[in-house]
This record gives sequence, structure tokens and C-alpha cells, in this order.
Amino acid sequence: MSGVAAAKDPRIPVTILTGFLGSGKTTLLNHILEDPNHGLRFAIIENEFGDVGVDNKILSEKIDEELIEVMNGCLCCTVRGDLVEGLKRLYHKIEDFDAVIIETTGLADPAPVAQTFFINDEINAKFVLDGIITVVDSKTIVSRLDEQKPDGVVNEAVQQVAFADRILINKIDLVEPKILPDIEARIRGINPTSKTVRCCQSQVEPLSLINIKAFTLNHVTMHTPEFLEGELKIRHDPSVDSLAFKFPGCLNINMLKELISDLIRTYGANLYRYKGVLNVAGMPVKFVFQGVGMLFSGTFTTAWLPEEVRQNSFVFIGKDLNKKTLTDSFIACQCSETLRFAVGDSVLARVGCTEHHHTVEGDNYDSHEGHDHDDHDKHDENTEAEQPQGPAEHHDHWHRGKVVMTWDQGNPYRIELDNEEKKNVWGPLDTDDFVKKAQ
Amino acid sequence: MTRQDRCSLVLLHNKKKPSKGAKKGPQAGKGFGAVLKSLTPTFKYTGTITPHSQSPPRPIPSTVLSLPSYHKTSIPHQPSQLPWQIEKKSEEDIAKMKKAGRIAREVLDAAGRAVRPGITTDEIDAIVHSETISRNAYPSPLNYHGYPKSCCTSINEIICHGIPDSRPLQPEDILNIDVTCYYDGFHGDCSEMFIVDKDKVDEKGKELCQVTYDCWVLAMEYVKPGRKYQDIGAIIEDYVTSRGYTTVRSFCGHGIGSTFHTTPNILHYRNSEPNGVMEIGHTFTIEPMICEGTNKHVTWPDDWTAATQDGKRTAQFEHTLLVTEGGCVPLTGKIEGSMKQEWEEKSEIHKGFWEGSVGK
Repeated sequence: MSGVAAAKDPRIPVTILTGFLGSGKTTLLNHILEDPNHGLRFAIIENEFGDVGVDNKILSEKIDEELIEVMNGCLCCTVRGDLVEGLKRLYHKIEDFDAVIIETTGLADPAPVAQTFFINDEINAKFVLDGIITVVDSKTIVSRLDEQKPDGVVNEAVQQVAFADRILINKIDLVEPKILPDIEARIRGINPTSKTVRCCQSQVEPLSLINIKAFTLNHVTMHTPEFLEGELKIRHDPSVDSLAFKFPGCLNINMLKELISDLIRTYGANLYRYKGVLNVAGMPVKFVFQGVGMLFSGTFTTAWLPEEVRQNSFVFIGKDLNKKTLTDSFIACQCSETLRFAVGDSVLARVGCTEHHHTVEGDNYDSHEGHDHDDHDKHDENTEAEQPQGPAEHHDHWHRGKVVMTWDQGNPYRIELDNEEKKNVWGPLDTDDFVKKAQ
Repeated sequence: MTRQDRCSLVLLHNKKKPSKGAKKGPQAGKGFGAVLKSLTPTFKYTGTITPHSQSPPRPIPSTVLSLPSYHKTSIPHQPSQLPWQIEKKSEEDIAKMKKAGRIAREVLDAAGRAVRPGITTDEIDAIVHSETISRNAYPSPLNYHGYPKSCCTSINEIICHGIPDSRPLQPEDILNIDVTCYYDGFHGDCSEMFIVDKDKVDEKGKELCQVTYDCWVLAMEYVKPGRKYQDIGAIIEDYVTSRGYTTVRSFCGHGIGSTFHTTPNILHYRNSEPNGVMEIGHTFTIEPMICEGTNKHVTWPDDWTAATQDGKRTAQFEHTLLVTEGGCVPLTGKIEGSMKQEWEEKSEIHKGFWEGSVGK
């Protein structure tokens, strides 16, 4: 087996920069283009050249209508049409750059831009989303957050804060220092795990704009004072629901999988940002997830250290979230790590078997569960008729078997059936519905 | 339906595909981000190889006494070392590594003999697994960082870490089987190319294997106490580049012993990394991955399989080497009964089985 040489992700990191007109976002970008000292190579992408004033003094070369190179080696590019096409065209010029910054002029909702970096495989292979940064004007931010919008109209300031990983509180020289903690508390109320940085005249250390790794699961942490043991921290912000919750115990991985699919399907576009670190029964490693909108990613990461408390914590930020249901659903996935059966025990395992006569989707990568979700969703709808699409027979049999392993990849049991093939199946839950004592 | 009921249909679900009774269990793997990927458009595979269904990880009987630390936890114990700090094996260690290396060779040979059109890589994995445990050894890849199978099978455009599954081998395929066995506390790691049907694999495919084999032997011949590990890369890169091929940069050879992957880091391209100096008693692998097209890779959604970005083919060979006074010897070298391959017969570097350098 080969070793992996480069620990460093070879893809170009991308930062999405949002912020209202007048927040200082544009000035910030100008600083980056003008500063001869930061030594970093940024490629700044925006809709229109007019927004970022590229002064002739710093202009190195106007390469074409779309691309301008400035003296410190940074590039400024306009992408008028499709962002994906624009990025593909730019790739070879910016392969070795330190970061790409995409300025989302006039867009309140950065989610579609963020999702581009996951949904499009070619972009996903070349670029990695590093973080979403929003710039706010400390003078006006609170009143913007307070603004009452007509029914159904989104408060853009709230949404920008909700989506951000880092929030630059700008123009602090124009406000009384004592209100700054209030601004920060207000922001944290909407987005408990974002980091705020105070700045003045958009003077920001360029390094603080990159290496956020908000979308790299190994770096997801849940350190926030907003978490109180078992308590529901709910903010009554009219535009957004943000929920930070922590609870003990371990979770059954199969119920968790179901829950996550359900959440995405139920809330869909009403989810803004979410992340969590979960304690899965029978697994020595943490399960970490994060998401933007409907784009979820989760995986097992590093081992729980002996000194760490194994518990579950998550943050959900979105619209019209039913917080009680959300927390109850997670808690419902709790299970005990003590099992009823041990290795060697004879058991009966309920094995379901369905033959479908319409073709399964060829040889594409099949997240097995994904397919089954589709299939048994049809089951759900058709429980009366018991007829999924196409002719199919559904059999549920109890088979004799022997427990060969406990806690296998998060499944309570691995059972070897007493048939000729000695087929192995997993018992997903330790209940009589799936595994019972052999008579 | 309650959530609990739905679980049964998801997992204890034996889906029979119309083509063949594929023994398919629940998806093993590193996590279930994969589940939700079904909600987003499918991954764009770069070549002709796509994933098929995997069987559950194979169990280890109690007769296998020596188990690596990660067998239960999936996380290997990794001693931290600076790049040039390399362990020198004792005489006792070396004897054990020879044993582990020999087992790995026997297992790889058995797997290679099974290669033919129509056999699935999962069946090859079953052979590797049973040949390994029948020698009371542990198949090192199994559960290494959560890897779900007992060996790696990398076909055509797959650079490395291909996961065995239900895909049948095609006559025109070229395949690398990578076997590592853990015995009495030590690992032995080797891999080899196999041509599925020599009448159906094209000349370019055979040439790729030949060039890969030759640059590999050339690199192994370079090993000698006192020389720098960093210089191996240039030998490989110069040899293949002048013949129109590229060498992969993202995966490397590695020190090996009681730990699967350790120092020295063996880069297969020209470099100036301070990766240490060769000394008698060092054990490590050289395993270049050489490509027809680009050397850049994409990783599949399974988080393991590495494929070339342009879908063109790639080949690899690997030995576990021991540095000796005269040069080095392969601990996973071929034995009597090992397959004689075309590239070994035609090599312009060394004809026949390569049995070690002679201190050139």
C-alpha cells in the first residue's frame, strides 16, 4: 500500500467574501491588491471591474477584458457569466496561487456559490472551499439586523451573518468601543460558532482571510461558550433560528444516517449552516459533519482522546427550524453500548430480501443506502398495496445465525448466517425487531 | 414507518441484481457522507473503471496471533520521527521481516495466478485473505485507517488503493495487486502488475508495464549504504520522462517494519527533501507509479481510490528492500514457482528475477 506523500491539499483554497455595499468589502480588496508586502498571491474574482477600482498606479498588465495583473502579483478577474466556466478558464493561470477570493457583489445568499465547489466535480477536483467571510459595518449592522422585513422577505444582513465562518466587524473607529461587545454578542446569537475579527478601515491582515478550513472536516471544532450542557440555546431572532445543543451518550449509526437524510429532505433550502461532532456507539473515532444548505458532508475523523468527554454537540442555523423536533430526533438516536448478545451466541436475524425486475442503476457508484432509500421510500408510500414500482416480491425471513463480531463499523452485530454461503449480515439495532434469541 | 423499521430495509437487505447473485452486504467504508452523495449528482469518473459493490470486510480467525494495533481501532500507532530519522533493524528484526516478506510474496503469487478474464477483484481479495490467514498472518491493509478490504487492486487508470469489488476483470485490463502481510510483529509489502489476457492487452499497455518495471529496477539497483534517499526520485523521473511517461508525485514509497508506513519517505520524482541517508539495516519500499498521461490524480468518493485525472493508464511495482553492505536485497523477492513475466524477460536493466543489487 502506498504512503500518501503530500499532506497538503493541492487544490486552490477559495474564500467567498460577502458584505453590504458600504461595509468596506471593496476597500479591503483594494488593500490586498495594493499591498506590496504581504507576499501572497490572491486571485480576486468579481462581477464587474468597476467595483474594485484598479488604479493605474498598481496596474502591471491588462491581460484582456477579463483579467488584470497588478504589481504585487495578484490577479483581478471579472467573471460575468457562469462562475464554473470562469474558474475553469482561470485555473491554469492561478494553479500556484495562495487563494482565490470571490466577491459576491449584490448577492445576499452565498450558498449557491459555495455549493458550486461541491456539486461540480471538475471544480471540486481543482478548488477547495476554505470559508465564507462577511464584512459588516459596525455603525449600521445592528439596525440592519433589526430591520423588519415584510413577510417572506429575507433579512439579508441576518442571512449573511448566518452563513459566515468569519465576520469582519469593520469601521470600529466610527463607533463607541463599548458597543462592540454587544455587536459581537448579537452576531454570535445568530451564528454561535463563527469567529469575529475587529478591523478599522478594512485594514485586515490578509492571512486572516485564508486558512479557515471551515469545510475541512478534520478541522471542525465545537468550542463555543454558547453550549450549555443539555440546554437548548435558542435565540429569538425573527429571521433566523439558530440552535446550539450538546448532550451525552452515544448514538446508533444507522438511526443517525436515517435522521440526517430526513433532515436534509425536510428542511432543504431552509438550512443555512450546520455542523456537529457526534459520538457514535462502537466507534473509537468522532463523527464530524458540516453543511451549507442542502449540501451535507460527514465522515469519521480522528479518535476520541482519553481525556476528552465523549458527547454530542451540534449547531444548526436556518429558517423555520422546529428546534424541539430537531433535538428530540438526535436524542432518539441514543443507544446503549451494552449489548444483549455476545460473540458466539446463536440468534435469529431478520433478513429482508427484495427482487426488483427493473434495472438498478447500472454500475454507477452506489451508496447502497442511497438506493435503498429511494426504494423503500416507495415502500413507504405504498405500504397498503405493498407494490413498489415494477413487479417485486418482498420477503422478510428470520434466519438462524451466529454472532461473529460485536460493534462492527457502528453496527451492534455482525452475524454469520447458517446457510451454505455462510453469508455475513449486519444487525443494525440491538432490538427484537432485528435480532432475537434463537430457540 | 418508524425510523427503526426503516433501518431493517436499509441494511439487512439482500438485493439480488438480475445479472449475478452478487453477494452484497452493507456498504463498508469510512463514514456515511457517501449516503448523502446520492442526493447530489454522481461523481465524474475519469476512465472506464467505476465502483461496483463491496462485500463486508473479511473476518480474522483466532489462529492469527499477531495483530497490528489498528486492527480494532483503525488508527495505527505512528511514532513521530523527523524525516531523516530512520530505524535500523536488528538481526532478529531482519529475520522476522524476511519471514513477513516471504509470506507476502507467496500470497501475491497466489493472487496473481488467479488473474483471468471474468474473475472479480473481490474474488482475488478473498484469495489474498485466505492465503494470508492460512499462514497465520494478518492482511495489513484491512482496517488500516478504515480500509475495508485485505489488499488493493488497481486496474488501468487507477493509480493505487483500488478497493476490490464485484467488477469482473476484462481481457484488455492491466492490473496491480498490492499485498501486505503482517507476521510476528512485522509487515512485508509488495505489488506487481498482471496482464489479464496477453492477447488482448495492447502494445502500449505492455510497454507501460515494461518502462515501469525497468525504472523500478534501476532505482533499486541504486540503493547502497551512504547514498541519499532523495536521489532515488531523479533516477525514476529521468528514465520515464525521456520515454514520454510521467511519474506520480502524490504517493510515495515508505519505511516499513513494525509500522506499516514510516520514515524514510521515498519520493518517486526529482527532489531535494532531507529524507535521510541509506544505512545497513534500513527497510523500505520503492513503488513508482508511472502514467501514460498526466501524473495528477482525483480521489473517488470512497476516499481511497486514486485515478489519473485524464483517465489514461498507470502501472506500479513494489518490493520491500533491506539495505545491505553491497547494496540491497528484496525481502519480498520472487521465489521458485513465481510467475515469469514478459517484462522481466525483456528488461534492458536486468533480465530474469531481480534478486538484489550487487553493489554497482
